[in-house]
Amino acid sequence: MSGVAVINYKLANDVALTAVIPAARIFSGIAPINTPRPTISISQVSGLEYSVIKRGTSNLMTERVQITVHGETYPQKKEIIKLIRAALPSVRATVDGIKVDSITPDIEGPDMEIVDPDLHDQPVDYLVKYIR
Amino acid sequence: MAAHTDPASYTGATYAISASLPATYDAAGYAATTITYTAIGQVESFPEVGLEAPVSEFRPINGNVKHLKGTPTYGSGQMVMADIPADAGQVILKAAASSQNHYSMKITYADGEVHYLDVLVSSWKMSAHGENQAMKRTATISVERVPVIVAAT
Repeated sequence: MSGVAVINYKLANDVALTAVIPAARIFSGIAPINTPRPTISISQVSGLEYSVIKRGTSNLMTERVQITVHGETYPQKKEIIKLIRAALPSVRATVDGIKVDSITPDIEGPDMEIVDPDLHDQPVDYLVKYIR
Repeated sequence: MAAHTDPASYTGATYAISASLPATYDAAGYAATTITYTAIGQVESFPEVGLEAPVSEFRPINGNVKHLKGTPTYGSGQMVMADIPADAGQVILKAAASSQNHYSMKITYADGEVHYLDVLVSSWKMSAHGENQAMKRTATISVERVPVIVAAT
């Protein structure tokens, strides 16, 4: 149960996004070496539990989740980010068994463009609030 | 658990409320089985309470200032919690805010020490809204008598 799991499930089950990147190339954690592009890796940057004096069995958790797009070209990378935004509207719902309070976009990271090897990456952050 | 003999935190303390008042305002009265305390869930903070007396000054023309102590108060402030509409304790707090009656509160600390308070609840508010902010309730609690403290054993 984690914000990463919520994001992975939403992206891997989005029809428009998986038409460009198959679900098998959407990874929690890092993509394995030699995974063909485009691919997405999803990781947790930080997490914070809503602080109460006496913790119960259900606690509101806020996780910063970083979604990194590894594209084949710059325009493709940007298009994938648009698809990610469309796949992650803020919802209050149960997602894959996890009670989600909200999913909100946060900062967009820098373009990471390398000529040799030919790499076109960019991270986007989301804040996922869910009940743990 | 034995009473703490080192510095301790509030972590693990539980807060409960009852509409019933004790027959006597002492440990036996508050602990009577006729009083049912209902736990208040997801408490984030509780105000500073305890005895405080105002002090005024008399400044004679000749001589030093004299300090005069007034009648004590036992404190008031805001209790903050996550908003849980179905939480039984929060339901009672909401009713208390609309009532002129006193209520009994019971605070149980992690080492077993218990504080009983005779309180008036004078507000029940939603916290200010903000993006990504938790929904919270604040209740203004005023303590009307000296707190009754039962030591941990």
